[in-house]
Amino acid sequence: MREIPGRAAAERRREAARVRRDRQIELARQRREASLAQQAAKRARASRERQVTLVDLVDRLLDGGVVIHGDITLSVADVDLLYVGLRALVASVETIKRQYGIDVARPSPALSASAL
Amino acid sequence: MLYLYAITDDAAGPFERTGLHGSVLRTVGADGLYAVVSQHVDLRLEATEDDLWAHESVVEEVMERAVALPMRLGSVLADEMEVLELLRERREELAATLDRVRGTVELGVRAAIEPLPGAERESTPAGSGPGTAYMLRRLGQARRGAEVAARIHEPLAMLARESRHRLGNGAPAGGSRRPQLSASYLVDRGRVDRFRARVEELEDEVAEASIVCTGPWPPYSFTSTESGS
Repeated sequence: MREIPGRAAAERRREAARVRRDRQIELARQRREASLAQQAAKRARASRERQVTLVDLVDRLLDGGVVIHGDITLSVADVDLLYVGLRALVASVETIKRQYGIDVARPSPALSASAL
Repeated sequence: MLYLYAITDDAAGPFERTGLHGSVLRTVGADGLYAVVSQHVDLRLEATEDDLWAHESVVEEVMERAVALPMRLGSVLADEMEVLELLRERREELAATLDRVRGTVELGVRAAIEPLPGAERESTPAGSGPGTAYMLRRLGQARRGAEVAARIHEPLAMLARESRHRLGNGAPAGGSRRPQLSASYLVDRGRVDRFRARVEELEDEVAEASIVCTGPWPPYSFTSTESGS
């Protein structure tokens, strides 16, 4: 069968267009995957930062700040309650410690020594 | 009793937020030195996450309009007389500390330093016992931890007015304890973005550590009169 020149050229153009389209689809897919991976990493990081923020908050509120009367001051009956509460909190923070290697609320000698 | 949140040089109220357990906030003080307080008959402070954030957010509101020194969690005094007495007795120290932290915030940095793989074999001389090997391994890790921590801490300290840091042992990771840098930086408000950008750079530069920056916080770590490390 005799080839019709116009038809072959058209076929080649269609083929080139298909290749271009496939390449664009592949690029879009790669971009989407990269962005999904990026989002996942971002989410993991944000979650980690939230956890660390809680540990930092505990650390600062219990170990930092202006100290009056040398210690956390509550009426005597409440002291145990406070410490029980703190232990419960620190216990839940233990998880963070295990997962992220964060040292929780360890009094810093430098700060404690200078506290009044 | 009065629960204390912060010391400030601004008597202005009223406050948008409520204090612990929905209490009303007010300031007590005189002559440019005030304590932000709430009144309680029976305060059962349980140090739950809610109570911690309640304390923190009051300090943050004070910081939005004036310089503030945060109180440690659980600071209570009997009445206004005692608050005024505290402010009078420690006036010089508190005023000086307020000046020292004026225009700044505190930023926290924690970095977990990964153990060096294979370092144990390199540093163990042939023929030494397991005890020696263990000690050398610990020594090597500690030395390396200090080196990596310095590569993070030193450039950040240069962007801060003051800093405090300590190197401790984090939780075990894969059998060995990871050295952990915990640091606080007193940073000018205008430099916070630059500081954070530097932390991000350091994350790339110091591949041996994973770094997290928290804050801005009230200057909890810079309320004592002693100068930092």
